[in-house]
Amino acid sequence: MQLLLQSIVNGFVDGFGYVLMAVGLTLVFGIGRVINFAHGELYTLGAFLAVLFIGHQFPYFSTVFIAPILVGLLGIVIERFIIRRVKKPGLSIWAPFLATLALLVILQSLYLIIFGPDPQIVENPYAYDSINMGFLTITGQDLIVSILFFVVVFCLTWFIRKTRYGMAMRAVSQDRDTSLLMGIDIDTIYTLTWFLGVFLAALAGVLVTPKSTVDPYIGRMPLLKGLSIVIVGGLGSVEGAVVTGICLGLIESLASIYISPSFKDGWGYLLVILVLLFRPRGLLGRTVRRG
Amino acid sequence: MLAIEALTKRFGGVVAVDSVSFGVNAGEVVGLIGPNGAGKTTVLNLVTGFSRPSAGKVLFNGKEVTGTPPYALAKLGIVRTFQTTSLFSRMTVLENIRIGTHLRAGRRKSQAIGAILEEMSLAKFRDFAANSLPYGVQRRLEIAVALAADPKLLLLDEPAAGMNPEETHRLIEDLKLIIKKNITIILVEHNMRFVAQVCQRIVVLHRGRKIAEGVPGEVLELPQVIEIYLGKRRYA
Amino acid sequence: MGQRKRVDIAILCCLTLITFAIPWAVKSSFYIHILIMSAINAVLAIGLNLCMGFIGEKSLGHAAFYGIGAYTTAVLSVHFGLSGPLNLLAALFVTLVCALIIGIPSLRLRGPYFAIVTLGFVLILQLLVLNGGAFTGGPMGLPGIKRLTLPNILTGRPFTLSTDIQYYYAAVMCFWLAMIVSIVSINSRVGRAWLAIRENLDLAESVGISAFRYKLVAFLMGAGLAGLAGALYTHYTAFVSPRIVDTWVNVLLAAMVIVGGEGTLLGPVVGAVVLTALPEALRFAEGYRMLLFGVILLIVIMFAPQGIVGLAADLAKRRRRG
Repeated sequence: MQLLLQSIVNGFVDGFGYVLMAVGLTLVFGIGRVINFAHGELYTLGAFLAVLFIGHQFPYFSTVFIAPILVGLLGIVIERFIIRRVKKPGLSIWAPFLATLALLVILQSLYLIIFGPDPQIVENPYAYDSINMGFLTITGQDLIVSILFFVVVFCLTWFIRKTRYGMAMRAVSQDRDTSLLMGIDIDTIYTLTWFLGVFLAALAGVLVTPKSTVDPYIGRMPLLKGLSIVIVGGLGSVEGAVVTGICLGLIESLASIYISPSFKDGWGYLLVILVLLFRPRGLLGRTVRRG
Repeated sequence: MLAIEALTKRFGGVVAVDSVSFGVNAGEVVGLIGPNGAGKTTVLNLVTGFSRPSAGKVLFNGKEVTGTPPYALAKLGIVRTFQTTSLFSRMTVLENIRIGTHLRAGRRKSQAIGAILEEMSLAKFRDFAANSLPYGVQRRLEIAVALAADPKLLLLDEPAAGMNPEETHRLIEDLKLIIKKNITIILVEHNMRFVAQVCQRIVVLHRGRKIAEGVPGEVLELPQVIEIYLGKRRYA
Repeated sequence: MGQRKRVDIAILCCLTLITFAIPWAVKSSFYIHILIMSAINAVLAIGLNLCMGFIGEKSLGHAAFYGIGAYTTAVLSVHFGLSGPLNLLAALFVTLVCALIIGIPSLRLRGPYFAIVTLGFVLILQLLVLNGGAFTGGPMGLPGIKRLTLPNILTGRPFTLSTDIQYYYAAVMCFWLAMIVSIVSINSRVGRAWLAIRENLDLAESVGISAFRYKLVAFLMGAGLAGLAGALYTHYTAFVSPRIVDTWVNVLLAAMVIVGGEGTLLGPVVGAVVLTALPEALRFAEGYRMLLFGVILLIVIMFAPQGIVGLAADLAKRRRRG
């Protein structure tokens, strides 16, 4: 029983991290129509920046806000100078997708060169403070992740529903041409979307660092899980990403206890394959398939 | 030859096609008309397998073909053209028609290609890229490609769209040629004069429902038909 | 016969001569190794090109078939002692069956979905291989694979391939098999159907071309070639490890096709040679190699998406006109 409760809590916390990754991906796809394969590398960058800052005695809470903003700025650069250039009508529709793939390679190799392949650790005072409720152990880091998750989701929802930019983003995701006609500055919206998406990925990276080691390859799994979640939840659907992300966290956690610990990472892919075979629109998405 | 029974298509909350039924006999030229948004192209998509009906049946020569994919229908002899110019744009006229003959075998293929090039007066454009042709010629090529697939039933989606009178006249000549080959034709169109000249029978759709059917001369005089085209002249 | 066809045939003849004559000129085993790997990668790239370039479906799972071919051969060799042509055929068979299983559901999906599902299959395969225990050798791989034994058509006695040069010729044979398969299919009714599907899928369907079926054919052909390449690779290196099924390999293969020029006949070959030989020749540390690789890929995508061969063709066209 205790095991069950603990694994549920762990599942939720993991799920929160996944949701942050997935929402970033789904925003960039839903609005910018690009699947960002380099998303995982931006997560890694967040983690590495955290290692750097904390290694230089920066306070943890500042890092949590500053690092993602810095990475978000990189996201803006990527969007303006690379993605925008390859979206021109003359090039194939695959160009942005492939460009992000190239970015993945470039970023990962840069991390290898700059930081080296060895795992690094981040010292975080909260990671080991835990609240022991007898039947449940919640670490300080878990609490931080959970609180931040709700804060982020709340802010994002408010932003998308209540602010002008948020509504413009929704308009662009539904109908680009009409949005243009209505005077929405699409370029700014794309840039803003990339900033937000990348910010979220980096935030996930920063939040994960205290719990595990950091090396150039840590971005791979979050990317793939993020992709799985986005597809199952529906490309472009933020609600779908939230629901699916949390579910995935729970499924992984429970399955590794009750079914198989070594297949933990595979559940996401299995889920994607099953959903795509039987309900290609995803659980809450709106794109259509054609054979 | 073709029978449509209670064909219905719903998109979310919208009913684009509402229980439409009509039949087409072999050798006929039937027109499907109606104002924009009446559901004409949707019906076409449903019949030719590009869209799945929410309800209803499509029967071809007595056999049910509802929901059969386009390539299988082509094998049965049902071929269509598209509303917006649809060609293999970077390929030559010859290559376009050759792909059209995909289903034909061996020697009959080259014979058919040659014959179609001649009949549709496209021989002189043989090696031109499809996207370099003038509009009227492109539309003619579309029909040529469809003919290359050896159809028994040809469905044309607004073939006269955007054509000047000279091109329209040419189109009518082409249609007469097709009729002579014993190919049944269903025509989706806007151009009333064109429809009245070419079709033996017309079916009128409005907001997804069939509101009239019959000989053009009579149907186009019906008050309900004139009403949906408020402002248009009467056609004798 | 058009001028372009004459140029193509001339290039192919030169290529034939070069590939068969190389061992006389090159003696260093290091370079032979690079050439063997280039040939194997070319087979993979040609197979992927059929899928990506000709029908337009970007598959991120091609390496899976390479891995399946490699592991089937390895398992049959280590656990059952097979090492002859039967082994190659078995690898081919298993790969094709897997390709059917993966392809039939996936090819009904559009663009990005297809790419991601194929990626998912690679990952599941990798997990299976890693957790296969003694059967697949787990994370450490499976060593001790027997060398390839082929029947000698002339004398009837089987001979075992053991020197690098012999494996080079085997790889070249495999390469030409892939080229022939590629050339024949592209110029056939099947190839025309592929082009039609790529140019205008709806129109192709309306004249009787089943997009799904022809996509499946291209997918299967590509997979089969990859499986064969995997089998050959395993016999050559006498070792197989899960690194073969890494997502990284997929990106590498996709890059070969794109940099070389997708949808062209020689593109994947050029891409494979350039992207196999270049990193080896440069002999940088792994990080710098990857960086260079990524930069080249990005530059090609942004400025020359037709790839090297496509670029060359465009320049030739421009010169002919002006």
